[in-house]
Amino acid sequence: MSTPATVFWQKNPALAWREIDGETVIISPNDSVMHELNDTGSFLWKNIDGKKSAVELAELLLENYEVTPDIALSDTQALLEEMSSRKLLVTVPAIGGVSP
Amino acid sequence: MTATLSAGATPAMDRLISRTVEKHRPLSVHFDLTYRCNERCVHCYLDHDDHGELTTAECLKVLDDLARSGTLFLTFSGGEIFLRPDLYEILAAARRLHFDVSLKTNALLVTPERAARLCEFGVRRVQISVQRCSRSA
Repeated sequence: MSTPATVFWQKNPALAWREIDGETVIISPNDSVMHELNDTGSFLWKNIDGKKSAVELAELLLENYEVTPDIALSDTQALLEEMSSRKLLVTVPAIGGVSP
Repeated sequence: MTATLSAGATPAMDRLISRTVEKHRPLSVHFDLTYRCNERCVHCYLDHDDHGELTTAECLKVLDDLARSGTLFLTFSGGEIFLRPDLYEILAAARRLHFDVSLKTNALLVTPERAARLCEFGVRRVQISVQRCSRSA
């Protein structure tokens, strides 16, 4: 994973989104594309609050789903990177400020 | 266990609509904020009179209820919505609740400054009706 471990993850504040019966739908306003997260993705999405790193999010996944630590971390990192590439997330340096 | 993210247009929207219809979720809501209007269009289905309207607090309560019910797509209309002095307060609440917001307006009260504020509130779509019955109208 290319993102430094010291960054926290935060939802892009410009997004429209809703969790509906365990699955999350996200609309990116600039291109009007609809994105869907499954149950596990929605769990991570709910916990992305600008105060947690990928490792901390993976730990939460580990506590709540039957999964090995390696898979929890790799799945979490993969999802974060994918959402970041689609501009659904931004990273926040631990010392403050927001980077795209 | 794999966390997945998928994206798309029509098939994804069709799935979402089917799912929300099945579960009786109001996915898309049209919210008329006022009867009042600054125009008197002869073709309009409203009579433009002031029949009373929800207070700001009542509007915000409706938005809370809609968000909890699963509404994502929210269209504000009227009447002319820019006649409500609390419009921006309502839009700010809609932004906090992560709605996908659209507006319907005749745009006669929209200034560059007001248009810029709409962008600040993340309004994704503004629908403006333009009708005329002659070249000079």
